[in-house]
Amino acid sequence: MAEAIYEYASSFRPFDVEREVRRLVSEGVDPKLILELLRKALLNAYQLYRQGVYGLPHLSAMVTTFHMALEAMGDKFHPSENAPKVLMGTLGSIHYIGKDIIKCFYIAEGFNVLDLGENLLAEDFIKGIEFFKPHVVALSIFLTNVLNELEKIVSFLEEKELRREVKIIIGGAVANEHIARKYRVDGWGRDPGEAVKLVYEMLEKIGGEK
Amino acid sequence: MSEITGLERAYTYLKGKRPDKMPLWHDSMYLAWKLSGVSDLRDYVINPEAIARGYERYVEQFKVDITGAYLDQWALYEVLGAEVEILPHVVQPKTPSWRYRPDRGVYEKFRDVDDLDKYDPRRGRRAAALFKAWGILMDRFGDKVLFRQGIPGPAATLALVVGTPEIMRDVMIFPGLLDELRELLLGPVMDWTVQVSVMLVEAVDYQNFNMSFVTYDRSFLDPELRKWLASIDLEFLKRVRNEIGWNVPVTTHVCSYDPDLDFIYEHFGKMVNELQFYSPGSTYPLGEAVQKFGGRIPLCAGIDHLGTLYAGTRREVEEMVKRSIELGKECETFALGPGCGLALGTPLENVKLLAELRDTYGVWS
Repeated sequence: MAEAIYEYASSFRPFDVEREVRRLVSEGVDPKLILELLRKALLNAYQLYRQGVYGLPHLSAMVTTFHMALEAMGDKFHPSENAPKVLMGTLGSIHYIGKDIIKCFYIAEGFNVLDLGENLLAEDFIKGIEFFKPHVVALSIFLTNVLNELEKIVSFLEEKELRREVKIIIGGAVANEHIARKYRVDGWGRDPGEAVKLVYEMLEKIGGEK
Repeated sequence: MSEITGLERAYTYLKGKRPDKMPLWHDSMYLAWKLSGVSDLRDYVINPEAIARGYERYVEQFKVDITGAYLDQWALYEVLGAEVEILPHVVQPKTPSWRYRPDRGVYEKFRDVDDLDKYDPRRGRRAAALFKAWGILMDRFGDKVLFRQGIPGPAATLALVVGTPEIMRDVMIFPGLLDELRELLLGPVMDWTVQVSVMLVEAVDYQNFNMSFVTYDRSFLDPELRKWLASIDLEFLKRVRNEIGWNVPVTTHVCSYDPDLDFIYEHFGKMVNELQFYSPGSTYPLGEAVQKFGGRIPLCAGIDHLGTLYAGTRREVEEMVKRSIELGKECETFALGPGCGLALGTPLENVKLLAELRDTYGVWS
């Protein structure tokens, strides 16, 4: 039964999830159903996190579970064609757990996500923007050491007159209103719930500015 | 009459009393690197003279009473297998092979780490450089400035070697791992961490021991795991204090964005000499902290190092510091400080302004 995925994921049993996903995919089960079950488990865990019952260890386990499940689905899973496109990555450092948690939320929400990974510089994001043509660029930033790279990304979008079509949001330890203002980004947030809301706000802005 | 030294000011504050003015604390690995004159970070981190020079210039330029001389947080754990990559702008951990595929076997190597002949941190190049740098700095400033010095508890020893997200995940997915880890943490890992703590305190002439409470962020651990961790950290702090002597002050480090100061004070308040934390800039308002704790323990806070100090105007910095000092004056005693090490790129004029503002407004009348 596909619902076993929800039980395994909610009990933080990623190896069981992986096995079950492989089995279901081989039997032709719709990957969207699998994703929906993972999404339920993720949202349930996040709800408990917001209530203070769960902590980062639980969300960390969820990230691994999600990752292993997506790997197990292989090329069977595709976001829908009209899905909002989000380009994401960590600027200039290895920090990944916050980004990966938010990536799970974005995928679960149905966004078309391209995660460039970590240790990225401006040129990586610029190549990603040119290739992927995202609606939103979501940067995870933990070090001020690389904020000059953020400046380069913003300046690139300004020079190409893309600020209306492509919005920039930041998260991570360095995200705050002072930094957002100084580097002219469109939004900032500090937790996964805010990250999803921010994307919807950016999409509204894009729609409104057209 | 000559002014008292920063060290005397710091000690008075740590005893719960008001010195002539509020001590000023801040430090920064990356600003010290820039001040050292060594352009390549890879050269800097293994050069004790350069490390010492950077911090000497830091103390001279910014007139701090309390500072800290350190490199990246993995330097002391290199001998335990913590691997880093040193990029032009940062030192950071390498991605472990168990990042996406959990591996319970990674914890086996910690069973014999209490053998300090084998696991002396000074066998690591960066740690060796640090110990030598501390010697240079103590000769120069040991009687003038307090150098915050410490290491987080045994759980951090594991986390910084295995990976913090990985260990957090693993305790959820591997049945029985938490009990196994408790055994390690109260056994060989505790022994290693305590022994290294003593080495560190000796290296700064027993000025202080700094205890980190970073993990006690409300968004990190659930209540059960937080209590579990606190029981281990409490044991750690007791053992360290027994080894170094109970007259050596314990400074603290709470750089969390969502600090559970109430929990920290409840569980550790009697074992530490101050509560340093990040406010303004975190979720814990300084005013609330002053009201709750200002009459009970010395507080060190007041500078939003990632917001106002980094990106604010001179006027905004001045307003922030004035407001923090006003609140600080409601405490038994207070030190002005940021949440954590200052960030690379913090305008030097803003950093220099801190001592000026403290001298103008932070005098205890």
